[in-house]
Amino acid sequence: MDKTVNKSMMNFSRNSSAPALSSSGFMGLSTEKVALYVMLGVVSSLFMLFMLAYLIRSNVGDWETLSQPWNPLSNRSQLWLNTAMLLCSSISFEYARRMVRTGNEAGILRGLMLAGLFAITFLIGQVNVWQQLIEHGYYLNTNPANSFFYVLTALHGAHLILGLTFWSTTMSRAWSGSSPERVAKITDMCATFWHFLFALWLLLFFILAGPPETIALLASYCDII
Amino acid sequence: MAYAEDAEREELHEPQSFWTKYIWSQDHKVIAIQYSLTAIVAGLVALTLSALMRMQIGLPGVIDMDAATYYQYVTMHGMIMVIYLLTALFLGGFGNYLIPLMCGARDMVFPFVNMLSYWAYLLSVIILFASFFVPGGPTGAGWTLYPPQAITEGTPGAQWGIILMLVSLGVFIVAATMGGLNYVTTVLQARTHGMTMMRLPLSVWGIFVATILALLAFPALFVSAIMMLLDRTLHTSFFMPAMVSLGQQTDYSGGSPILFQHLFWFFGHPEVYIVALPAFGIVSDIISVHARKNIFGYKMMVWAIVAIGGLSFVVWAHHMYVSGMNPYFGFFFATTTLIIAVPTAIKVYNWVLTLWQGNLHLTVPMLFSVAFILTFVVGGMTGLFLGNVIVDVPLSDTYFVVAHFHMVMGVAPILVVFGAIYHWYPKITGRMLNDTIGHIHFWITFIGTYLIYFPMHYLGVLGMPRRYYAYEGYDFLPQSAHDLNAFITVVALILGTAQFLFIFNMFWSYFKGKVASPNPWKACSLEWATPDTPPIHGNWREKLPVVHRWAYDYSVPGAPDDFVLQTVSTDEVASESETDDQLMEQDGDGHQPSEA
Repeated sequence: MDKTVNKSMMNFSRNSSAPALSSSGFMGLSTEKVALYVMLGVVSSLFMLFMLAYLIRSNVGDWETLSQPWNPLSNRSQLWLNTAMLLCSSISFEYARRMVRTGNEAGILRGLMLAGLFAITFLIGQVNVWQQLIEHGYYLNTNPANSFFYVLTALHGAHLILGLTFWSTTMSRAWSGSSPERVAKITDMCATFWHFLFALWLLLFFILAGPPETIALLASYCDII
Repeated sequence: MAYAEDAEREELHEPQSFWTKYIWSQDHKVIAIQYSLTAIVAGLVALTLSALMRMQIGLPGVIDMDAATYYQYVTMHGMIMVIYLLTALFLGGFGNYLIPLMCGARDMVFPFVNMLSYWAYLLSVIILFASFFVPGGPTGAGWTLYPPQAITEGTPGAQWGIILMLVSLGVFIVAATMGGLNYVTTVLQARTHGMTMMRLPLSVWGIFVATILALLAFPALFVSAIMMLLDRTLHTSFFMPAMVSLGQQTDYSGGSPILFQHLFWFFGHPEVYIVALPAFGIVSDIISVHARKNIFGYKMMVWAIVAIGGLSFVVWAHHMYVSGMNPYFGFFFATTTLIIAVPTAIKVYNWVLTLWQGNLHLTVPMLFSVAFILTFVVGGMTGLFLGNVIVDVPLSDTYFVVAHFHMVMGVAPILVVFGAIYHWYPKITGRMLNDTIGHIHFWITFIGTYLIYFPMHYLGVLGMPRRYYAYEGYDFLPQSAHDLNAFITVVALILGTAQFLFIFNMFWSYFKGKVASPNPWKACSLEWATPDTPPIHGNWREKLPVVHRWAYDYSVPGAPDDFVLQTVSTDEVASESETDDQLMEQDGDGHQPSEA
């Protein structure tokens, strides 16, 4: 058999070439970061579907948007305050992340501590809104808009609490000065997660307590029932 | 890859005790087996329920089942088969076993989360099965759990059964998400040296895209489960309209049952492809190996998988033509449904063209795979009928639908499950499954399913309604329909019993089966190149494999064997081939004088 022909025919075999021996992972991201982005995709899907359900359900006649002038969320001061708390928490995490890059340990600790405190204040503020609603007789099952408000804020809060569990381990590590690499990694991931939760909260805030006319207009586009 | 270099540097910590090795194991292979065995046990329960239902329908009087029990069995059978068997088996079972081995990884990237995934799955199965033992029994709402009847008094299991079902689904989704996170990240991050995405076997592509579908679609089921649970327990009105139940005005008002249907099917239709895409991938690999031919149109196959995955999110409402939704949607969803037939047809053509002029080995895995192609075409064709609003409306409540979805979503994927187990069993256990029992199992299963489901199409066109627990006393059903029902039941019982041949084969062969060589089918993909069979903890020894080619180099002209492993470089093939030629020449020289 002619060896030249022989070898060229074997090269015909698809995708056969020298292996790439050194390259980084997907888009140069770390494994943990890829996993975090996948998780954020899942969480986004969950909340998007919930918000769509909210808009679709709001087309039924019994719906009472909580931001109508005669309803409690027409006064959004507590919600704005909570939003500011979550924004501060997000900024503090970003600060901690930047301190990680410069290797400033005291700065990391300061950023982490502030981020946690603001996040906890946000959660307390959310519970306060719930209390106000209950005091006014706006229970979970009095109106579907209330049901959505409680469920969506609870779900958002649950994600923040999940984030706080990671925050607490990072805090204790940063405090004791152990495994700085791990602290750097989790701080970086937490900062991304916090920004995501803040953006998500803005969207929820708009949907749950935005101008009733705008919500009604959006809902009319989703009238598939 | 950075991953491979790191993995080679890191020390392996093999679990030592029985508990960490086999129970609380973080090894993807053990978790895959745990997932598979649990799913098969759940499947056997569902199979038993279907046998009992068939006896009720086809042989009335043999067992005396009331309507409530029948609906409970229907519901549990459907839910177990779709979610707890097929989804768990394809993603948790095959996904877990094949992804790291086919990518050339040591394990999943997050082994602990992977272990949690299995235990959460087991918990969801236990919660589901617990509903058989609570007051009122399991839910009888139908596997789609439509409100308002699912949580209204009078429906079987409306007290506790439905609550346990919803909680179980929630736990299952958490388990599937933990697993899915691992599968996607492992495929993206943990491929070995030279393993590019376009060199991955189609099994991995199918499981990978199916997992992305699961991660995006399961939240829809999660959302609807939370909302229905709140409707049931705290009397919110997400889905529950104002209504009178048992003469009493309920405290619900304004809820939309159609909203539930939209959410359910936004999950439900991708779910079909969560099961089908891994099956597509696995079948592609099996037929390529056993036809000794490269898969036809690899890139097209990959893009077809991706396209089907994308399109599966915009067809959901074809399950709702008779729900009373806005009729204009029907036109849109009928169109998207027919469009999805295009990439699906590409896959079928490519399978057939792979088989065309191949060196076909009709082994048991190959038989199951070819049977799948045939069955999928049959089921897909009736899907084209039902995808059209005007045909669907009269057929929707008949046995035609039962026949369609059992063919396309029941029988077809299960044939792949069997084919895949026969194909990879030697790698998993180090022993071959018994071939004779395998052939008997195949022919009974293949012929049996056609004898069951072909007549159901006819019964559907005849107008036999589905969801009835008994068919006596309906004048519009001729005697022939009753006879056919009895026939279907007899075949179903034989078919169901025959599955124990497979179970027996699995256990018997584990101890007594013929010892398998590391690569008994002479396949090219990486899992057959492990230095140990079954693969050890960590899959590979000190070094991870280096990949030089795709997974389909069969019958390459000029190569010494009719397959070239992914780990073999072109130079190695050439030098091996030259050595072979030299040996042949020497051999020829040596023989010439004596012949002369």
